[in-house]
Amino acid sequence: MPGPLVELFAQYARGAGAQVAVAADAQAAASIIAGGPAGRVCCTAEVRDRYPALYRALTQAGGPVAVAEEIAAQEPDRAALAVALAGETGVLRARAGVAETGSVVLADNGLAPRLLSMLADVCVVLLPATAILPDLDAAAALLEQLDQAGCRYVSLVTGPSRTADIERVLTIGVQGPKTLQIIIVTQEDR
Amino acid sequence: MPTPRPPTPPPSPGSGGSDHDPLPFEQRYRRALDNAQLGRNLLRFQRSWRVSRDDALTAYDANPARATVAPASRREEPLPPAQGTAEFAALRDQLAAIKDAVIADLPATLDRFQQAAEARGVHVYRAVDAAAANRYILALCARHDIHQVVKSKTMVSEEIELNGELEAHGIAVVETDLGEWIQQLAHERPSHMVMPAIHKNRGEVAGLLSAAAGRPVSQEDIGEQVGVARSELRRHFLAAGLGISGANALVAASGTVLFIENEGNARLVTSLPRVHVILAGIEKLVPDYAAAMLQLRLLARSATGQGITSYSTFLSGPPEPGKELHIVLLDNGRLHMRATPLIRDALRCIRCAACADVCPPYAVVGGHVFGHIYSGAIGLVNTPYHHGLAAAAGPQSLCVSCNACATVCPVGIPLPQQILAVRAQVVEDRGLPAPLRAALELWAHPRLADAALRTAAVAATPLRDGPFTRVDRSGAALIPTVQRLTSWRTPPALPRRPARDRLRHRPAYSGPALESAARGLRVAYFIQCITDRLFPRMALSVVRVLEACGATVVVPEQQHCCGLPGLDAGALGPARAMARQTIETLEKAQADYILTGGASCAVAMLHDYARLFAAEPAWQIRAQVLAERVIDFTTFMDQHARLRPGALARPHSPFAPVTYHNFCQSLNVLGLDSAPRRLIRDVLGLELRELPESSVCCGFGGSTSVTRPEVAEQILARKLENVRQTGARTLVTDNPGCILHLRGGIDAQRLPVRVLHLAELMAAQLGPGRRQA
Repeated sequence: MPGPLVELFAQYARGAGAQVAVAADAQAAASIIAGGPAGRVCCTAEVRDRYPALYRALTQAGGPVAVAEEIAAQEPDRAALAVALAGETGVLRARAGVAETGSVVLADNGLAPRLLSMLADVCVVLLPATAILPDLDAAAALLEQLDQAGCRYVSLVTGPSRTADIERVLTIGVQGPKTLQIIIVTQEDR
Repeated sequence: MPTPRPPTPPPSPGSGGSDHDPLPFEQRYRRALDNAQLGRNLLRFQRSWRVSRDDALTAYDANPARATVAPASRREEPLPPAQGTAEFAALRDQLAAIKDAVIADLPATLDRFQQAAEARGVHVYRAVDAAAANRYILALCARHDIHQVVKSKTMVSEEIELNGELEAHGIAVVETDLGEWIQQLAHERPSHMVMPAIHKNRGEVAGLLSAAAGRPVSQEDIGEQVGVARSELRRHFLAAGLGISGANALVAASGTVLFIENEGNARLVTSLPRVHVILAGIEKLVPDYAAAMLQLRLLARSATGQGITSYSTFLSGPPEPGKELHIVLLDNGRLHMRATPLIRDALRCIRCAACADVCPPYAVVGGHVFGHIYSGAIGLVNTPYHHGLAAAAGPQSLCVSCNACATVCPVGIPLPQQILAVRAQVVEDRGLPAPLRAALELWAHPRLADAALRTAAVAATPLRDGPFTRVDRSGAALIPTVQRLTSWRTPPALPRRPARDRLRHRPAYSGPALESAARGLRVAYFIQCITDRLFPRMALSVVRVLEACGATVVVPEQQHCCGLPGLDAGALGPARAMARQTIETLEKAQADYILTGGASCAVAMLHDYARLFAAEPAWQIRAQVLAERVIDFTTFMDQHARLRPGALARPHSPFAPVTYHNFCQSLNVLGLDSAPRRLIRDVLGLELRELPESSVCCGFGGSTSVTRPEVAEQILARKLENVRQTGARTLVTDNPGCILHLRGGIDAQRLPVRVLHLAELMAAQLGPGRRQA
């Protein structure tokens, strides 16, 4: 059963326009992803390595799943890499969640996983339930640790890309993902 | 007042970018007034921002995950009353204290940031001014043979006019924030620090996007318009060799740059091109991550009414091998601000633009007029230091001193006082307009002023029509200047006998005696100049109500004017002369309280005198001693008279229903909000209908309504539209300036609404024949 912090996180993430689901296992997570828009799925190497069962389930559900870092290895040109990664669905793993704001913490030094989180139309973020922090002050402490660990580019992502620059009318998906799907994972594969 | 000394105007940084060279101020002002759509767009924006921001603060209080904020240590001078939740005030006080500590320790904190960033592989450059910053970036472009640049929002790049410099050197620049891009397509500067194109509506945007995309774009569908940006901007991201972005905070401990956004364009700008430059003002420093998070909480709520923006990114050095990251730390007058008392506090600014979002004149003319490059209240304050005093001269003239900006500022910057300091500097530099100067010089001499007014009252007799002067009965109405001042606001009549004469010969009080805690108190009455000369009945009402409460009222002879008109116009010499005369006159009064019905005068004596005499300690002390006894009518009635509920109720009052206008400074400085409402509803027993936007200025604004009557007129129109909506028969407030303005406007519009000072309403309800209560 998800705890109160998970509930709170889900409430605030939904309030920010994210879709939130809780998955008990890899199969459940895979079916949530497969239930999204049809099209290519690309994940990070971290997702492939940490969630092998999910990776297998995704491959079985919708054909080959691309891995961002593998594409990057083939494509040294930054612009070409961006074009290659601008696929339909990107799957990443968050370092943490913040209940106060409903944010997920993405921390990737590599260009490929970062671009994936920015250029996918649907950004799927796997969030370990145990990694949900209560508030931004706890996030501050985590960011300090991440900095010590050498993480250079850390984003708190809260809902999909949006703008209200025209008449203050909210419009979703101006530059980045139009959908942010957060899957709270209650059991890690490893 | 510690007169800030802005630097001499810096040399114009760029020869290029002629697109962005602004017109002279007066032309910008005229053009904005001629654009009726502009005012509608801005007013709609301000109203919706206010709702979102207030809701976001309330939601934060209700958030079960939020941390409890420890109260910040007490300040020498408390921050202005905050509008919002108690939690907002607590967060604000905490961040203000943190920013103050950083500003105090700025050189060492900068060193710490630089060392940490360099240790993480960042190239840090400290630019002393705009030219140095631009040179650094141009050299970088030359070194890497860069011809295309993508940018995300950075106000510092606007400050140094970077785009023009780059373009002049053959480098193409594309803004990727939607609002900034719209402004770039329109060949305009951002008109707002957070919402650059908020002055445009969708129809205007559609025209720009159609031209950019080379195909028709929907005039109505904002979703389609945004889609155009998404598709058009992607190719620029891919082609650019350099990304330029801004910074919301610089974390000194780790050399980290925080930038926040909603669109995701800044993450692309900072990731896609191999070379990346971050532009940041040195005031953006915070000590650690915890302070950055505190700033996040305040910034998102104050800027866009969100709990947090979609993306908050912390960048600590080049993330992947091969990436080149430069941080340009800009001074450009900031150290000068730091060395200038009062102005120094402006370095706390986190660029949320809340000060623009509540500013009534801003809603009339927009940020291209109410500001230079930085707009809103903060723009009036920092422009002299970044772009020279001349660039601030026009914009500062629009401030109505309503203090609304100070109540929403998430770092408690004393913006109204700073703007008056800038105004004083402008006046010192260029002088006042001749008629205003002559009037103030005359006004600063009590005897001459008295004689002149009595003569004028006689001369104006043929034009008198009850409480008004009908200028249309004379040829004067045909003079354009007179028309500009009077067509929308009927001037008041000038009675032959000022209040002082009538008070001197008033009969002993014979009305009903009220049960009041004020019984036996001795009150010295400071009439206030507008009340004295234009509204003697108001003065008689104040005294009558006080006497009904059993107070003994004395009216000090020789009293004149508190000096506010001079202070407000930036003429500190006459202001000090009048303030000294007022202090000398009132300190002799043998009384428990020195009371005035002019709330603005009370504010001047309670708050402004100390600053006015900052360089004259003897006068400052006398002012402080005086201030201990100074009180405004509303506070006195609420706190000291303490009348019983229904004490002044009467059946079938001809005044009901009543609506109440919060005089800006009563609310924003004295914190009077519930007190007058209690008096009207409980003590007077009258139906009170809430006035929409009751805390928004009426547009009187002291000298502004004389020097910028068009702005005063439009703010008044907004107020009267709200008054009309209430259906109230009586509009009540507690400041004679507002009353002059509102009565004149209501007469010009022929609205069936009576405007009364709270004291007049109380005196009228008192009635002549009441029994002892």
